[in-house]
Amino acid sequence: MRLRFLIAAGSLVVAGVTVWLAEAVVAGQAPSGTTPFKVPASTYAPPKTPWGDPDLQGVWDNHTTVPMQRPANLAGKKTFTDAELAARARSRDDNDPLCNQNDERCAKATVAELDRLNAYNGFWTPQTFVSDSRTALIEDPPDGSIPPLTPEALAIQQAYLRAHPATEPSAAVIEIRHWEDYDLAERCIAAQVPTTTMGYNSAQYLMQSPGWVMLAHERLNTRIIPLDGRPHLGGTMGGWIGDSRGHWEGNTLVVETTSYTNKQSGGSVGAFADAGIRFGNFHVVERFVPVGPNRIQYYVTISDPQTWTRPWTFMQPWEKDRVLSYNDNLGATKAEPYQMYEYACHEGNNAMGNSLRGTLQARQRAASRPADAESTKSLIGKTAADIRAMYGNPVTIAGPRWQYSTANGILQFFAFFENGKVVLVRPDDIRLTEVVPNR
Amino acid sequence: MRTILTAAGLGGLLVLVGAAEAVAHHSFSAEFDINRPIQLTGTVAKVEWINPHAWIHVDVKKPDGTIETWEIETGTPNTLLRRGLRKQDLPAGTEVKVSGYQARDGTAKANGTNVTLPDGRALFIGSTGPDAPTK
Amino acid sequence: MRMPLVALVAVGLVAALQPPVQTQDGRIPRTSWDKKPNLNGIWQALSTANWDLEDHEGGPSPVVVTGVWGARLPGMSVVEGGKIPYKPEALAKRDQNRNNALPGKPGRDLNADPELNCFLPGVPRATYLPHPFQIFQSPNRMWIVYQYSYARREIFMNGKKEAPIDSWMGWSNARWDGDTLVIDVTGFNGRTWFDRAGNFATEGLHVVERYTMIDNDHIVYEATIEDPNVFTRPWKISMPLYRRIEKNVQLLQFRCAEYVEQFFYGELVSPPRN
Repeated sequence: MRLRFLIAAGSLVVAGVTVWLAEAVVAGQAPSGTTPFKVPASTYAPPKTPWGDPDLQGVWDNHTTVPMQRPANLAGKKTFTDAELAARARSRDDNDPLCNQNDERCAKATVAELDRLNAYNGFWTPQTFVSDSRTALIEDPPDGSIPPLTPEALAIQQAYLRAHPATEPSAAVIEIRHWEDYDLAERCIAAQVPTTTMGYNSAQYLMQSPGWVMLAHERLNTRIIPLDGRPHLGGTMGGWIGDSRGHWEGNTLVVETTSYTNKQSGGSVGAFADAGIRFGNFHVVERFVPVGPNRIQYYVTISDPQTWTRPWTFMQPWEKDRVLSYNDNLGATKAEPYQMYEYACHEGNNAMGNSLRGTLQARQRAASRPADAESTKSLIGKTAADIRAMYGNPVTIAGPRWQYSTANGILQFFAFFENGKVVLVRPDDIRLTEVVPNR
Repeated sequence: MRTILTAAGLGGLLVLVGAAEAVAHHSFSAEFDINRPIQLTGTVAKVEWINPHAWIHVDVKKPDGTIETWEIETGTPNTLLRRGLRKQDLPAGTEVKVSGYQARDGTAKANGTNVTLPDGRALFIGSTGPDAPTK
Repeated sequence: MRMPLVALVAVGLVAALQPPVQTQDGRIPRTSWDKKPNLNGIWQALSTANWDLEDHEGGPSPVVVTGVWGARLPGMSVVEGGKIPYKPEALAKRDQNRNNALPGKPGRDLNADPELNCFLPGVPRATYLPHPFQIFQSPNRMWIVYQYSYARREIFMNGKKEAPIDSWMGWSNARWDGDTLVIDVTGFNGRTWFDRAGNFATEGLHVVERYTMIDNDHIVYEATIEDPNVFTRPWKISMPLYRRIEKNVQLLQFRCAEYVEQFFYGELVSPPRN
């Protein structure tokens, strides 16, 4: 039910009549037999702004490790117990593949864990998360899965992934040959709206003024939402983040977003939709339900019968003005409310040019690599004794990984062992003679 | 008062799982080459505190005696800020050891998976350990 | 830091504003919570200061084939006294910027005008870009969101904290001086220009803005600029800001990072495999 606000001429005071709804039924087209999802009611009443709207202003954080979809091995299990949550936190602590050389931790690492191009380590991501005991963000369908794509949308997606293989999440070859092989956020254009968690810099500042709500996402997006009932822009004028209109239903902020561009993009950080999905027909309804002074339950329902066979809803808890406790690398623990800083993404986007140039170079290098028999690739299958005979003892050992230096002193050579034999080498395309024996 | 960035030990690193952006960010394999592991020791020439990634410029003495400046990509400066670190905390001349992977375009750039001081204490590591660092 | 009082002087071609501007209670909207001027709304400058803060004639486009689309617009100086007071060596750098502003070839050039590259404009340039911006004002909070790119500023009301980091848009501490909002901006990263004509500053830049509402639909905007690395003394610009009064007006998307991708990366694309 839409609520209308009277706006007195010449003044910015908004007067309105609000009706408290026991439940809010989410609009959307449901195939027959599907019950529309009901957002649970909340009895919490936040303080009001001077002009009478619920006051939800502040810095909201949504860092979470809860996946969007329920993993297959947890089918039917909606929440973890406290004991299970504690065990999961402990296993995360132990699961660090980024061991330094000669660290006992490396002894437990597998080849796959060591042979990973992690950009950098866990220092850069926050170590605390908004509390949430669920096994998936999706509330509807109840099985916690994104509904199937329609045949048309699947065909469109597959065509997109053929044209931009690097955007496929499990792509074996990550080769950025065109800027569109990167997703929207990596291109520093926008993040998908609605946004789910990004690994870091994931906060949003919710600002209010009479007749408006503004959501400043830490990265890239600023959403401006009028509450005066004006019509949507229509067409694709909303661009990448769509065009939003908001209203209050009791203490819940309801935002409807349409008029997205129909251009496609990659899956993106903080994405709820995978690569190759067109947003042009989306109808998104967000409900910001305050459940406590510093907590919102943020429900998002996405409807597009051209894309998915039924609407679906996910929920993320948001926490306000979190006091984050950091180890500051100087021996102290700091606690301070979250402050958002400028994220000048495009201005510092060296990665795009580096990646494109990298592809040009890599293709040239591949054309001039040495023959397998003369290259380090021929070491695969050799035993530890063979390698020692050729190069002496390794300079360092990290679990299954032996390290030697190369002629230029900076490039390193790794040989990875499983069951006593070399299964992988990095690099695999340099001459055997470039590896420097360690005598 | 100059502070040296240090941390002791590797305790308590968390690896993100799930829908959140994983530490193994897939786009980094487009920019850096897993087939080119590198390790270098040098001195900090400057730090570029820019988003999305801060870059540390490290002067490296090559075997032939010449200096080559390597640009090391790290994470967002906003994280450094939240940890109380400032631009001036990594002064020029600080000796560092870097391990990571070279840029795919073959230039003197790499990602900084591990950045350590010469004595092995690691910069940019998640938590403090029992041996608290000294200035 | 206090700025010395400078009387406005109309000189030659300089477009001056009526000094000093008195507001009358009842003519400007005020907030219900602290009775301060209510700056909420969508505003836009109408000057051509973004081309050149100083006097500038019209002229042909630097890219000939864009015809009149790309032609330079004429405008009168918004600088009090007409000219920006450069130190001699800094003036040479300004002229170098002017030559490099539009390199005219494909690829990202960090010596070009930052606006050409869709980089953040800094302050005060964000105010007089040819785009609207929106002020959000609530008790003890303020944001200014610009239509251009993702430019925005958190304005710390009664803010005292020093800039913890350098940034493109600076760190804004604000207070009320009677009915004038005064925003003290520091922490710039030295990468921004004031206009397309190469006028620039370094990390030493310090800007003090004054927003004075004179009636419901007009704000007088003044900015005092100092940077001892570049200028011999502080100097000041001023211009009116006009409320966008169209029904249902809103900021639209201008995410120009996308618009420069072909420009930056067109020559770096590899052909598709197969």
